[in-house]
Amino acid sequence: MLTRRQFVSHSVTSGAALAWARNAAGGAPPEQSVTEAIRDGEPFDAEVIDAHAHFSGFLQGGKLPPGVKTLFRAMDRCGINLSVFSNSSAIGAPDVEGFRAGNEAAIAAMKKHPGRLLAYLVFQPHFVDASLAMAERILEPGPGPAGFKLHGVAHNYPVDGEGYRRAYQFAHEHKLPVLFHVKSSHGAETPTLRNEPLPVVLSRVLSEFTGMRLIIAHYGRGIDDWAGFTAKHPNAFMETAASGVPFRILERTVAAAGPSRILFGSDSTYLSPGAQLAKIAFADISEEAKKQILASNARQVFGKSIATGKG
Amino acid sequence: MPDWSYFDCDVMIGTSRIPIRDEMPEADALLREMDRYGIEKSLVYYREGANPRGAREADKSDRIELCWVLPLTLRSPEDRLEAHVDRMIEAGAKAARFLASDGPSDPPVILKPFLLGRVYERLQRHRAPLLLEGAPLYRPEGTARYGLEDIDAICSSFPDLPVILLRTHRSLQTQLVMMTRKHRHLYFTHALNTLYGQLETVVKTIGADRVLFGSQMPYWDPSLPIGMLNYAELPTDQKQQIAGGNLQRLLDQVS
Repeated sequence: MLTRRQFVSHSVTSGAALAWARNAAGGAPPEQSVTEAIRDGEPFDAEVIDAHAHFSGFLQGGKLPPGVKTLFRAMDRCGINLSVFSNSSAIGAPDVEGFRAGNEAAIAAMKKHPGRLLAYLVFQPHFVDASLAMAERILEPGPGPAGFKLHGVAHNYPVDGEGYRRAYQFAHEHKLPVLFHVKSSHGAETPTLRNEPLPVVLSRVLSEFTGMRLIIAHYGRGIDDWAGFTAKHPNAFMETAASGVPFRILERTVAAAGPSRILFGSDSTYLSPGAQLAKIAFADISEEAKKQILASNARQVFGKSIATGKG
Repeated sequence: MPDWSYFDCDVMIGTSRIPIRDEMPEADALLREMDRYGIEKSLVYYREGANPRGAREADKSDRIELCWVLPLTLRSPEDRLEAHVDRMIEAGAKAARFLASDGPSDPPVILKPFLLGRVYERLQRHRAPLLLEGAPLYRPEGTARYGLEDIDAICSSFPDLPVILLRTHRSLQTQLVMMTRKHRHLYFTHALNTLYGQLETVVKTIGADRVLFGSQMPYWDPSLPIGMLNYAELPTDQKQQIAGGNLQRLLDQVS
């Protein structure tokens, strides 16, 4: 049996099939729902913006090739139109030179592929001066990075430490999005100066830096903590990438925080993007809510940084 | 619909003393979820080992097969653990599992062959698959007390017993690949092989016939392993093996 995409493809070369399709569907090919796409393993027709991607990553047994090729392959396989990404090399760099080079590579990639890639700059709290110098690139005329990626677990730096406060201040002044990896699947989490719970500390941060749009990566690894947090703060969002999630987590998150506060993220090319898309596609929520999560919320958050629509 | 159909080897239904979120009390609730995810069939156990209740629920639909829960403790002075395998076969169930413990007051889950060898031997005689939860293999889980060396001991002593490890963590991949090469009837589910390209690498390394689909619904979201397989860069015949063909083949061999 032909899938919808195969049928439409065949229709291009078959006048009879095209005529049949027009007659059968009132002049337009049948509309593919988000769930149909995932069941067929077909690229999505609906617009998809990935709010959490990387280039360079780790394949089991070895490191993926550097650069954007693998990321594009992952995006094309699933129909992801635009990925907001950071360079894993900048997160893991042991020195300022490597950190700068990783971020510069991210900027170069997004400039080479406008409309498909949008970069986060990694803000490394142990390299504050270099991070702030790099942040100036966001303010340059023309297309530039969207905001910051913070990885509090990899950098083991307090969420309320001075280095991160400089990032919040910059994001607040320039109304930037900040994707924050606060907790990892193995339980490690970003420390706080006085051992307070992360949502408590980040509540204070958001109350102080109201211009920053904070995206909690990986659902914060605990929606009971973070859905309420997100509902309370208009500038807080949750991002959905996770390697294993409890049954009906998205339904509960939508109920608690609302569909407008959730962004699709894949964490590819670290994680498999098809698995991450399936979470949205199969969720027991409305088709409209799925489209909000897959793209329109990201358009709100990243605003003018998104240069074009469907690629 | 895709050209491969899903047969989920790891599903629980029923209620118990400790409620969980989104539990599926009976077959109807499960069938609704299976329809939502496009899962054709499920191998199901009933909570707290209530096999008769599970059998009644499985009888409601030919899309549900019962996985028999075997006890780890004697039920009476006359009881023999291996006799429960005979009851399982008589009841028409074709696969077995032990229950992970629910709390610290439960007895320890110990899988040593010197304790359960007769159970393994009886299962092997029928070629009935034994499903084992994979979580204790990489981190402490309730009162479960077993590790990879126990799996190795079971597979070495009972080489024709199909052993299916459920929801093994991606960090164990190297060890699992080595063990599957050593033991021809060792299988595992791909639910947590979520790294980019990881499923394809596993299949390339050990073949598609050793990987099964198991969701652990209603604890975990089935959409991840489904999306992973649907978008995997694998040929359709290999996707069909993993989605359901391997499990069906194992159950068809039970005598």
